[in-house]
Amino acid sequence: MTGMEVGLISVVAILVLIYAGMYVPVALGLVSFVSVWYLRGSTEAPIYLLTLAASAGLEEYHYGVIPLFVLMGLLVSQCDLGRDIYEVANYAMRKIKGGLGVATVAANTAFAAITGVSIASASVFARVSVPEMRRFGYTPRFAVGVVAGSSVLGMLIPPSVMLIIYAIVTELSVADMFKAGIVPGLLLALAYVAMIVCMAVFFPKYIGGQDEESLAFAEQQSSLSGKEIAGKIAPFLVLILLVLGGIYGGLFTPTEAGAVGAMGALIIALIKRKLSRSVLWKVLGETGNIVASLLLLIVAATMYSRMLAISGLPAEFGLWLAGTDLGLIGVLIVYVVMLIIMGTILDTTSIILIMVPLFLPVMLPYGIDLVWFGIITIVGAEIGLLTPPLGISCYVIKATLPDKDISLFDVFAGAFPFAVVMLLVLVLLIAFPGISLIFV
Amino acid sequence: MNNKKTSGKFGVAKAFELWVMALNNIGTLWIFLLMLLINADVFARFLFNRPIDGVPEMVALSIVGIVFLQLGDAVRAGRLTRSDGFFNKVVARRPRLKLALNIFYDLCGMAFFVAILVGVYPIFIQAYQGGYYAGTEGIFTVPEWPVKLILVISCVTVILVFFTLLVRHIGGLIKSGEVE
Repeated sequence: MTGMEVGLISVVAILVLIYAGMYVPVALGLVSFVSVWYLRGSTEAPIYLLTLAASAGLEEYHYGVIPLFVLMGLLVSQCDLGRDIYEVANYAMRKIKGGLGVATVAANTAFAAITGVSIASASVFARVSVPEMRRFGYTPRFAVGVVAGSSVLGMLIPPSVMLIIYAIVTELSVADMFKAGIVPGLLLALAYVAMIVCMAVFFPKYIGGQDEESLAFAEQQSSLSGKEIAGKIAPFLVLILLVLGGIYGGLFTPTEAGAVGAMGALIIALIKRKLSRSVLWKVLGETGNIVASLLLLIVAATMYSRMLAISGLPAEFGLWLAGTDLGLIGVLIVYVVMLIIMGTILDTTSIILIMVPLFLPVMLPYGIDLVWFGIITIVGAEIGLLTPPLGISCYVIKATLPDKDISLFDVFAGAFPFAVVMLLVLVLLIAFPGISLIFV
Repeated sequence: MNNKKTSGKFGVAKAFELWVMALNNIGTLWIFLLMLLINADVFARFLFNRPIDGVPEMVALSIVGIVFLQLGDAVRAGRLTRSDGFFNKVVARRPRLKLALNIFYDLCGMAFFVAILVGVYPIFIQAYQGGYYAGTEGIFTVPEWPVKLILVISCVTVILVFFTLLVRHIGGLIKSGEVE
């Protein structure tokens, strides 16, 4: 067999094994191991590569960002900051049509700026804002849809673990990826807001709670004094200033920003009396579990990308695509479709780690900006998280909903319009690379 | 319910569980210390213009230590990334197929970590005997072998965790055969 055939069989085998329920890192690592063994004719080369990936490969100062930002995100979720910002957003949006929905998007956007894990946003807002919207007459389908749709903002708005992981795989700077995520994230949030307001004006029945009586009730219930607002917003401003200000201002490396942010979140949690010793220990343990599985995935993916390079598959694949006259846009469309299909069953990290090493050599000859390509990758993979059969965000929301009458079907149906808006935003991002690159 | 009985009967299994938890707790504590260390470095730099030597090296070595120490518990708790939605649907009504597949996955997991172990063991021996260190001579150095030892110990632990899962799944398969 030629190297290319081995590479192709390996990729197919990995996908089949993953779909059949094998641990993703084991599937990636072991299949790659066997392929390199076959291609090189001895176990020496694959053992060397695997050891390099697992030991020297992980000894990277930059990988420190992952545990620290995960820790910060989990601490922040512990502080009830999600509820606080939602109350403020409600108050600010009380006069707008579909205000509670708009507030959910706004609160998620702010929350995304202090956490890096979107599963955290999904579970926090499923508990905080769905019951609130239900209380004021919003339909269950719309309520869960808004939460599902806006949870993906967490992956796009820095600090985000996805931006970090893409930066690691492509050896780009984390700070550059963080700069690139801001405008697309805000654009997506604005597009959601525009859609919600349009829905509230043209299809008030779909959203629910838009009759005079409910609106008056909602407005009357939402009252905050200036002091309360300041108290609820202050922790956000402090954390955003520390972390993003520190990175963009050139004061901190991203790793340091993660450590300072985690410390800030810890202090806020202590001040708000949300942190006992046992809760802190639980948060640290959870951080460890997430970090171990994320980084093992990176180890396996490093092995996988070495295997691909040895097999020569990406280069051949690139030549083949170049010969099909698809052009850059055509190749990108193929890529995005593949991302969306994979996103329906896999988590975003795994998708990035499988697809990027395969497509990067294909994209390089087009001379595109890799930062821009990263944003497209993340948004494309995230669309799948909102679509059936297995959109992960939707499952998380279903699992954390206090209201058991809302079915999984409702979550998917509710998320669908948001997935469509995401796709439209993705088209814009592809058409206008400047949106992603404005600050880079 | 019969905790006392099982702890007596499966003393080894219990001890192993405690071992995995102990490794996990060391890793957990390590994350916390790492956060404190980096903060101390940042503050020392801004307030006294005097950063702490060797922090980048310590961070780099820590990542390996933290990840591997926590892997055993991550495997035990079923936290390794997998796409189980499709899997659960297909095997929902075929418990024996599910067990058989899980046995296969356990074996693959073991094989993967055996491969890592075979690679890192000689590296540990070299680092230990050669006295390798990370950092810059004269400013800050830290010996490399402790982290390599953690790698070796953790790989053995993860292999054993997969083995306990394997035993459980094989046990389940035998039991389900008896029921039929």
